[in-house]
Order: sequence, then structure tokens, then C-alpha cells
Amino acid sequence: MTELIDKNNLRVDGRKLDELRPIKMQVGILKNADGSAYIEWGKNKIIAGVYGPKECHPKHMALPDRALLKCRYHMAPFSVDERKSPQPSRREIELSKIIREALSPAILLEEFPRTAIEIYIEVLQSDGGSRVASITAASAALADAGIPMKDLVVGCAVGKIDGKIVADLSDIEDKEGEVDLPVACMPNLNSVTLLQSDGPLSKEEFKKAFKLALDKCRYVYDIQRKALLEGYLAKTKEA
Amino acid sequence: MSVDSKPVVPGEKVGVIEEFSPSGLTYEKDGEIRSLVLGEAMYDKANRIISVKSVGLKSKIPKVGDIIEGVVEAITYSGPVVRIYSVNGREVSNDLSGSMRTRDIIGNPVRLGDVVRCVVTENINNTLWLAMNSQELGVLHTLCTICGANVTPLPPDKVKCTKCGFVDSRKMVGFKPFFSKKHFINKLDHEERNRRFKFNSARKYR
Repeated sequence: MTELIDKNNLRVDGRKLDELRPIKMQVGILKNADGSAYIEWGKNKIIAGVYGPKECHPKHMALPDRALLKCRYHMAPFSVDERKSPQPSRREIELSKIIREALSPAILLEEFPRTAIEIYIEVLQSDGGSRVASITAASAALADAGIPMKDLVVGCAVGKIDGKIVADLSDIEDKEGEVDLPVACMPNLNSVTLLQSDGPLSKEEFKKAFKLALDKCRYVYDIQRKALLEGYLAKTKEA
Repeated sequence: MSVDSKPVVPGEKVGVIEEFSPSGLTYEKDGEIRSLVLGEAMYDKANRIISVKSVGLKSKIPKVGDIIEGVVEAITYSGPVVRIYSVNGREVSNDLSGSMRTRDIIGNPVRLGDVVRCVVTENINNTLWLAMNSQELGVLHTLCTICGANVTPLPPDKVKCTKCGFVDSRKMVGFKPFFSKKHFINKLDHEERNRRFKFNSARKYR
């Protein structure tokens, strides 16, 4: 088994326990989508595109009182070590569902009855924590599309490796560590929209991990906000 | 009037209700005014109002009174269905369609595949109803239904094929509507009805 934390409390990639991987974000990168965003979170490279509100197809799925939120999380065949089949896997279908449920509390779906809002997320390169990176990118793409939202949604994963609580697990830490705890929240409204866990944590450990996750979400929010404002200023300059 | 502005993202606090009233594209929660969209928060200090100016949705849903352009996609029992491609001259990509009511049209003002300009008369829960009831509305482009060649308009309500000479009915842009309000008697307008009745009776027994 690989040693994930050395005696100097440094992780395999040289990070401190509560240190995030470098994050780069850009919005409005796709001309043809209504809204789009690109995120580089460590080695994760994810692109999100948003369409809508548009006519709902098939029409029987349209909801009379609100918009239907559709989400597709898809990993490119070249995004992982071994070629992945491009057809949606069980994991991708599940992640599409949890991303949709993490974003829907923030969107004013009631404003657009009988329509659909579509979110497409393409993972170009994956390295652990891609669901929280996808939520962060999709939320920025929704804001870029001009869709009314109560707040932006940001995510960050925390976990437990070698008995220690750490922030932002990479692929190897996720696979060989003990617990992965992805959290997504609306930082201005103090609301949590996603909380998952794949292992046991004591009450104290959970409290510590959750607090760390919310702190790191705030840090990611600042990056997301900065990227959105840069995109907005570029758009207004063009117009 | 002094209006300040600053760029904001959704959910960002723009003010408090003690100082300002929330207006367009903002909402209030626990006494704080927050933005709903990515845009510019406008502070109207004279009227104490905050609103957010957004770049706007790229996929715009038309409102009542908007002029749309599109292609007739189907002709159903309830009327022609138009696939919308532009709203008020601005191209849209949101795959919306609207219908014209059979009661609003006489004869065959449009055919399948025609490019039309219509006005939105009703938006019932995002189901759009359209009409072509003025001179500047109607078919923008059409072809002969028999041979597919170009047609020339024959006012007031026909087009003629340049190749086979087939004459078909259309409500082209620039044609007056086939019927308008003046063709109907308002049932509530008793005075007008009585006046007409009296006039006709007088003529009858003259």
C-alpha cells in the first residue's frame, strides 16, 4: 500500500493536509452554447455547457409549474488511464442525478414553466473530485447563460486518509484512502445542496471534515466569482 | 438623479431593505437584498431602489406583443404550428414553437414550409399563440405548392406561380388581413346594433 501522508505531514503530491490543488476557471468559452464554463482543478479538466430555457422534448416530460432541469455528466473515452466506453455508465448516470439535485435548489425553475434547462458536462481529464469540479463549472455556466439563481453553487471534497482529515482528494487518495466526503453548498445562503460519504467517520471527525469542506467551498467560490466577473466584463466590452 | 453601479454575481448581497427597495432581478431574504443574475447592480439613490441589469438570456421566451419569425412546421386541426427562429429580430436557439388558432384565420393563409412573421397574442404558461392580423405580418417566403417554383403575390389574398401559373391563397407580408375587428359586431355594443337595425328598417319600409 502506498504511503499517502509522509512524516512531514505532506501528501503524495507534496500538498499540505488542508491545501487544494490549483484551480483555474474561465466562463463563456463556447460560442454556440447559451452559457459555458471550463475548469481546471489539479489534473481535472472539465467543460460545462448550458442551453435554455427551451422547449421541452419529449413534450410529455414538461412540467406545468416549473422548468425541467436536465443534466448529463459524461466522461470522455480518453479522460481516464484505460480507455472508457463512451456510453453512459452506472456511475455517470448517478452523478448526472446528484449534480442535477445539487444545482436545482439554486435555480428559479418556477420562472419558466413547461420549458427545459439542459446542462451538459464533459470530463476531458479526470483525477478525483470531478463531481464537485463539475458542479462548480455547471453553476458558473448557468450564471453565464443568464438564468436566475438564488446563489452560486460550489463544491469541494474532503476525506480521511491514513487517519487524518484532508481537503480535496486526488485520484490515488480517493482510491486508497478511507473516506471521501464531497460537499456542495450555496455559500451566501449557508445551505448545503450535496453531502455524500463513502466510509465511516466519527462524530468529531465528521464535524472537522464538514467545517473544512465549507471553508474550502468559500475559497472555491472566490475563484468562481472572479471568473464570472471577468467573463461578464469581457462580454459587455464586446457588446 | 444619481445611479451607481457595480458588477455582481447571483446570490451576492447588493443591499439591505432598510436602505433600498428590491426591484428587477433581485430578491430579498432575511432583510438582505441579493442579485438573481450575473450583471450590473444599479443603485438608484434618488428613489432608493436597487435593480440588477443583466446581459439577458440568450434563449429568450417571447412575450405578448413580440414579433416572431419562423417556419410553418405542421398544419394541425387546431391550426398551423410555427417553429420560432427569431424574436424581435434577435435570433434565438431555444427550439420554441407557437400555434395559430383556426378561429383567427380564414382559408389557407399559410402552407407547410412557409417562412412567416407573426405576433404573439397570448402566452399561457409558455404555450404561445400567434396571429398574422396586420399588414406587416404574414408570409415572408413561400414556393408554389405544385411545382416548387417561385411565386408572385396577387393582392389581396393570392400568390401565382411564375412557372406553372397555379394560383394559391396566402396572407403575404404587405397584404391587408383577410378580416379585422370591423367585420364583427360587438354583441355588447347595443347602441351600434340598434342604430344599424333602425337604419336597415327605415330603408326596408321606405
